[in-house]
Amino acid sequence: MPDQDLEEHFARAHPSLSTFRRIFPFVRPYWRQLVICMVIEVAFVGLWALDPHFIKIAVDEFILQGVFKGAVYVAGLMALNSVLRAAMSAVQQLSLWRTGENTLNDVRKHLFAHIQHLSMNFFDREKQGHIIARVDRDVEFLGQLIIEAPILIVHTLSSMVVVGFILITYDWRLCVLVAALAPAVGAAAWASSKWGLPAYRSVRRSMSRMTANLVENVSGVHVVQAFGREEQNLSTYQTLLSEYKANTMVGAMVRGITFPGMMFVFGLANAAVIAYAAYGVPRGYVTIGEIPATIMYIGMIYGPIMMIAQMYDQFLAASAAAERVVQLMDSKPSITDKPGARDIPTIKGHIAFEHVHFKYDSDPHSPWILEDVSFDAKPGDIVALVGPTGSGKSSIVNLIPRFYEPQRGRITVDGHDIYQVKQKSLQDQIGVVLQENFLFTGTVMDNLKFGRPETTDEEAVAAAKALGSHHTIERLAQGYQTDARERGAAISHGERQLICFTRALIADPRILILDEATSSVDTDTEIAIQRALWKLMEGRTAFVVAHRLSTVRHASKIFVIQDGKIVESGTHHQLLALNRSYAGMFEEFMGHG
Amino acid sequence: MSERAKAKVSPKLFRRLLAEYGSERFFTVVATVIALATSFAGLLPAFFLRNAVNYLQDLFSAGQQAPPVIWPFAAAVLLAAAIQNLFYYAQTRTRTELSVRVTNKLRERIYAAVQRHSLTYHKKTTTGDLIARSTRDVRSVARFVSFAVFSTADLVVFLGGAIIILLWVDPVFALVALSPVPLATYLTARFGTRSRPMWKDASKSYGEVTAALQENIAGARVIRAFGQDQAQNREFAGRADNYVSKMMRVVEFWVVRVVGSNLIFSTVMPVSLVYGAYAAIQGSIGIGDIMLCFAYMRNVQQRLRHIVHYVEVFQSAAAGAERVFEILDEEPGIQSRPGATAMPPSPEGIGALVEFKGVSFGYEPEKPVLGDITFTAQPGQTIAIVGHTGSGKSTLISLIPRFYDATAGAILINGVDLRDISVRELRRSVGFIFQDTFLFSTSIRENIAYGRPGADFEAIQAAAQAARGHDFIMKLEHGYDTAVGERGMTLSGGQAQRIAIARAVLLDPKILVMDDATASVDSETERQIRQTMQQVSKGRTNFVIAHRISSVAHADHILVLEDGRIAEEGTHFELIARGGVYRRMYSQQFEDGPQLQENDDA
Repeated sequence: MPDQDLEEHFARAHPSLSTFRRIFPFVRPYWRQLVICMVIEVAFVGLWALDPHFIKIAVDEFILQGVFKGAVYVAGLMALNSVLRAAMSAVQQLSLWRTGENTLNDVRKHLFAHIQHLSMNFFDREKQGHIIARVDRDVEFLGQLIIEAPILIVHTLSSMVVVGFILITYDWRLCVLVAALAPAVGAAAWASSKWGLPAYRSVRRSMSRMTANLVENVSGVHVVQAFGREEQNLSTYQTLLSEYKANTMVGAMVRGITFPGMMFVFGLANAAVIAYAAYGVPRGYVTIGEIPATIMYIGMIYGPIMMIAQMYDQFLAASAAAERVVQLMDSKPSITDKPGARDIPTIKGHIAFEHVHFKYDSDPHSPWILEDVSFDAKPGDIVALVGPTGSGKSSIVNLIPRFYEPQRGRITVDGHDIYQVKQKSLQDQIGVVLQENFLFTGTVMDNLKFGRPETTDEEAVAAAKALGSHHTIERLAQGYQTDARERGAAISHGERQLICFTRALIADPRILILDEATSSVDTDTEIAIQRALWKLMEGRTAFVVAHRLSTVRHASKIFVIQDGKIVESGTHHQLLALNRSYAGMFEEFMGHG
Repeated sequence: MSERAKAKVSPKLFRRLLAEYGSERFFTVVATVIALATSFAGLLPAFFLRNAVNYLQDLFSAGQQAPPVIWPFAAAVLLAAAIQNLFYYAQTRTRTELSVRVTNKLRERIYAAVQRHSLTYHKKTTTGDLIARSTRDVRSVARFVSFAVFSTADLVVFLGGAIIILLWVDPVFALVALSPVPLATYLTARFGTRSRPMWKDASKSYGEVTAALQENIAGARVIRAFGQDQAQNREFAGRADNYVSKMMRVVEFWVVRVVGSNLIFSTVMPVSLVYGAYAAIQGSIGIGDIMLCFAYMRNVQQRLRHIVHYVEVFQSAAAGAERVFEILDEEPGIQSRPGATAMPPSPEGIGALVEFKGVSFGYEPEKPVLGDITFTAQPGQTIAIVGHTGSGKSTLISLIPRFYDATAGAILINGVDLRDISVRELRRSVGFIFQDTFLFSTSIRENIAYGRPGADFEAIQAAAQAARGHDFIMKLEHGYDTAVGERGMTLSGGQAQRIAIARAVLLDPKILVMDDATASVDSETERQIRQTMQQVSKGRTNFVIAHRISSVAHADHILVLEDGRIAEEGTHFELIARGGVYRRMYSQQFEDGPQLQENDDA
């Protein structure tokens, strides 16, 4: 985990009311259970606080009076009390887990559904790992905030009230004595989180540095060995190791001081109660039975205080996590349907760009990625886009399915402005085959049916045959049933590309967009791919972002893009005759340059 | 990962694990002694409280009216607390230090081993797996000691001490009070073991939830392009609900049983109260003794909670240790022979004479990748290697810096067998430009100087200039200090390529090897890199792999590989004239293939 992620992990924030307001609706369906749990907690504390008092009664009323039978009755009551508490705790635990898991599950499902509506620029901006962390780790944290924290607070407050009340009935001075030392426990616990957290963080940081170093040297081990850097690297790693050790020891020291510190306050309180008893018993302020009872009560109220102080930091971290979750919930898709937008009718495939200006950010000073792009593609046209890396080829095709919206200009499909129709109706009719050739978990067959799940196996195989990918797929380890994501890259780049083409053919889009892969495939595969490509484009309006000129020679139109502008357009032969950029690129490609 | 669960703690493994502590013998002894003393000191505070309460009870029952001398008792309670906590502090320090010492040593050895292992080894393993071994597995080994060993010792000493003290107070009282402990312990351990597969099941289905999420985000564009968001939602909701139901199944199993065994344990209080009251009335024990029993039993119960995890800790430590030792035990594949020589001089003063004599090689013995490769590269020549994917091109050049050793035949450099030259010397004489241009997360300057860490800045700049990278580097905001790699600036394929070339050039290698690095750059960049390579290859012996004929046409000698054998060789013109494989590749790349003709009129 990079440092930044860690920092985020430990980020702290005070819980804000607005965050709670956004989270609350998820708890609402289960509020009854939650309230019942709180009530049980209070009752539980009440019963729990009876035990020391039972001891006091047994000592004062029976043991010291020599009445054995009475002590047996008290023991019976204690046993009954245990049974009651066990039953309550079982009911409460079950209910708490159920409430917690269901609430978190609802949040997860909500977030997931929400993510489906977000526009592509959200995914460009946010790292994958961060989005996942929101739904995974941060939601988990939320559980602490909405379940654990309230219960712990109810527990602590009710223990203080009940124990305080009982102690006052014993002797108000005793109560003051016990209460007076409570802040000391809190202070020690607070100090532990105050010093402990930064120490803990630096341990995590040096751990993540070690891991990062190892990751890098494993992934680059061929370079390490080729350049003979083994010893140098080891000594860098040794430095990281000793840094890790030093940080760990600081953490151990903090823990070693603060935890015993808290425990020592316990000892102090116990000694004080003993000392006080020596004076209080003769004066009749306290009874002998109240001494063991009070000592037990000290644990009952100091314990939760220690816990709250120790968990305080975790709660702050959980609040920060909650805030991030709410942030994700509230992130709006930047591209939404206009009010009253209608479905676009079945697309024929006439696409026009009219003076389109576009950039990915909204900074008024940043340069345009596309500047004043206008063109017209007739149904059935095959349009090739060529130009250097970064010239804006991919941006043009990203605008057609409304992955992004241009700042100026208009794009129409069959005369419909694409910003006036429903996004989904448009995207459903556009097939995109991307450079990255993304396949999903599941078999190759599952992947073929991705765009049209109702397809039968026979139809899928027929499509593969039509496209010329059937033999390639059959040759895979388990043919159509090969696991598409299995490690070891059983499916090569070229094969992957053919599968994606077939997937697109089955989806049967009206408009096809292809971002050609640049990876190196051997000539045979290249030929198979080219053949499939032309087959796939037949009868559709197609846009090809081409990196190799061999693909584009037969396009009906070629646009040469440079610095976000169309600088040349025409057929292969027209552009060669023009003898400008395209001609130069072609010559270079042919290797005569 | 699934085999992790199966590992058993074998005595041999256990001994070896303990042997890791051998080098820290002194510290181990110190930490153990302090740990045992800490457990013992944990018995003290409650004991002194007991004395105080008994003392007060005796005085006041005897009818004393004046406040007694209490300070020695109060002081004893405080002192006991102080001693306990001082030991606790010492224990925390020594235990942590011991654990860090041992784990750091393991990590260091893993690191060294990983760097030493041959690329054959790295081909078989994934980065994630090695990382897991150095982090999670080392941690579970450490946990085994800090948790299983020290916590067991703590439980034994504390429980033993408590039993002895209580027996000394009153044997019958002790036996009555302790009677529920064995049953409660047994049940706790048993439920823990039985619920473990269920927990695993639940966490596995949670893994499926995150996997669905991960894939959804990685494939966001494809999902939108194919309009599959509804289907994705259903899939995710299904998995999420499945997880919750699995989770609740464990919770239902677990809560009831844990509460049950706690209930059994809590009978200690009423049971010991009954006997305690009886004995106290008889005068054989005091109120303080009843209190002491309660206090000890509460502490024992807290410690027992951990035993649920014992089996798990033992197993994961055993599995972790096995996986750690596996790395350490792996024989490093390629090492210098004893008496290995320095790099022999070239007969012609420049470059190196490289001879392949009947070389065969396979990553696995039964699957040969290269067969009977024989050719000679004269000093200063450029040898190009072409062929289809999988024909063995990359494998062939990896033999030159001895990333792998040939299974048959020999490779001679300046007349000396490769295996007789020191590996380090050899590798530093071979500049290797990899297909994937791996750059490290540091500055451009340090990346170029990777093979010569102390190189002065002029030399670095000169290398960058030779690789035609200087100009673009100077245009970057931080110039040579720009951070690159995974966590730095993203360079274009061509830019990264130039840095990789500069990195190789800075070594001033006799032999320069370039795997096809131009596959993922556009034609213009490819042309520039080709020119760069022609320039930096002067005065060296060069090996170049390329997919495009245009990149190899100028080579002195071209090897055409097919299925691991040299199918044809010669110069560009000789091979064209021959009309074989090379000629066919040439046609496919430069002439219109017939498959495209049908679209000519489109």
